[in-house]
Amino acid sequence: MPGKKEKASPASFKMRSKKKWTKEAVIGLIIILIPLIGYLIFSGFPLIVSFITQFTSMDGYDLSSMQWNNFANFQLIFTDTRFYKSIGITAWLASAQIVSLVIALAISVLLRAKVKGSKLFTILFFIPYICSSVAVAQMWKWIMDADHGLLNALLGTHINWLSNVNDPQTLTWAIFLAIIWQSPGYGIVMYRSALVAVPSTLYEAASLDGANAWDKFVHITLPSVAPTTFYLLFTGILSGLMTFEAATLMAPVTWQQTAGYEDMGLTLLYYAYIQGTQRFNMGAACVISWFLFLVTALVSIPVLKKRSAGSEL
Amino acid sequence: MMRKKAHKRIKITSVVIFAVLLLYLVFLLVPMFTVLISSFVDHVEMVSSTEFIWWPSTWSFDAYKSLFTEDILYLTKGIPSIALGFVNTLWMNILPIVVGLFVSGFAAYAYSKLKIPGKNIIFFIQLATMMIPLGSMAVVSYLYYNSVLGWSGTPLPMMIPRMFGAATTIFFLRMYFESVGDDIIAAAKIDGAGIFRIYVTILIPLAIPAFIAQFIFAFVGGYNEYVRPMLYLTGSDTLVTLQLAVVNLQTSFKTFPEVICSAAVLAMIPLIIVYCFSQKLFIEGITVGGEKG
Repeated sequence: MPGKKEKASPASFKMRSKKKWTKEAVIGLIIILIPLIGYLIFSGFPLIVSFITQFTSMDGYDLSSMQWNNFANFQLIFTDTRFYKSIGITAWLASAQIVSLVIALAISVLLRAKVKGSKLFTILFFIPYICSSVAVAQMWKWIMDADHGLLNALLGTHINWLSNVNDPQTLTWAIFLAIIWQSPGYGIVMYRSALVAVPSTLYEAASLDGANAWDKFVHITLPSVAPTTFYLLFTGILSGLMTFEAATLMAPVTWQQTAGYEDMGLTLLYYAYIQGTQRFNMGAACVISWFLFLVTALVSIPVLKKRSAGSEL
Repeated sequence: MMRKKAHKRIKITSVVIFAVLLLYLVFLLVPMFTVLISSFVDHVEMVSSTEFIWWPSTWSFDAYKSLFTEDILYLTKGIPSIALGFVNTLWMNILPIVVGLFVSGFAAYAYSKLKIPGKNIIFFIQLATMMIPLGSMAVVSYLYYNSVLGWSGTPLPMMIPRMFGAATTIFFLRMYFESVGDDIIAAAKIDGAGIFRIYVTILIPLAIPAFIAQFIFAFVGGYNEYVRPMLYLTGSDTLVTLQLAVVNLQTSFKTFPEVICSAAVLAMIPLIIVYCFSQKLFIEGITVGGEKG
């Protein structure tokens, strides 16, 4: 019977149930603590070290030379035009993730129409996603090449798109393009499983009521895949804010020490990299990183709220 | 009459949809083909042309040959950097991933099948760690790994942390193990099997599909990884990873774009081949491995 305490009688003699810490419990505890210990050592401690570093100056990477510097790093960064530029570039490139999501949704919906070859299309559409950032950057740099690039051949021009004196913005747009080339693959696959779960009877009923394709999309499809959209939006924006590889590879540090021509590839994380490894100012790099950390944490809050409200462990 | 009209309208829509999908496919394949085609252009033609070469006048493997034989590492130490990079990428990833999966699986088993006081609280903490976005610390972690641990210049920063298991893997495998019948485990216990034996001989075999999916997800990430190798292995020619080698080749073969293209092609091929043979598993690994439900 539930709630009835076990009586210690010869008939129901169960010593083990009274002892909390059995051998199984101790071994089990060690096993489940290992990942957490790993997290503490390899994620927790770096977090603490970087937090402290924000408030110090030091010789290069020599921790023993750390000195409290009276918020000098904060003054440096928050009065730095490059910092604010990097926020702009980061937001710009993060929006590429939103465009990617729209593309993924559109393509997935089209794939659901019983068109010839949908299966093959789906398989091929995922391939860009498994290419490395290095490969993607190389492909797009080659397309944008001033002399041998495909884009110039199509337009009949010889513009150096990645280092454009007349319009420096083309560099950022080139990175943007590389991102929307690669990112939708993930969304396409995720939307595919979400769309499969939508009962066709809903669409049939809507047809009977006289709904057209657009109505069906807005009132049935969109709400049905809302969880996937929410998830993709969240992970997309998060990864967009942390854009680093695409920027570093397509806008390498120039002779003028900028992230690509006129800093048009300077994302927040890239700027942290420049401050930390080129200027050897880890304090400033940590300020930038913690700024980014707080922004990404803020983005995570609505997700956390939704998750704890909607799901159980 | 009405049915005929409706049938015709649908057909046109199908054609339009197919055209859009085809155009999108072309958009996705063009960058890959561009690099592929350019890798077969011979150097003389590449240097003398001032625009994109749509079709090589002579198809040549020279770029691929030069990639190996003119490689600086090959000339000084006998191994082409791209080959060494590939080998390094394999062991620097397979080893920690396998160990990490074993550890994560063990934790998942403990969470789902073992009686541990307070395990729900600990699981909650584990879950909470998944919520903290640590990507922003990628660069400044260097300070910790370099100055606190002294691991700069070694592959340890990429290998050791992963050996401790990962929260998402534990989460995923725990769901998998919870569906395993308790009776099988109870039977094994009667036979005298301990926790370790039960895990290794019963649970691991049962969860092989889940492990494979997780492995693929982790391997793709590790194979393509650039940031950590760039931070910790730059400057070491023997510890170079594949991606790092490709980037380095962009400098050493600066005036040989066809060689750089050939490097990019070779770097992509292994994953694409694995993908073609196992797309279902691949996609499952990447999507389920990434999503937290």
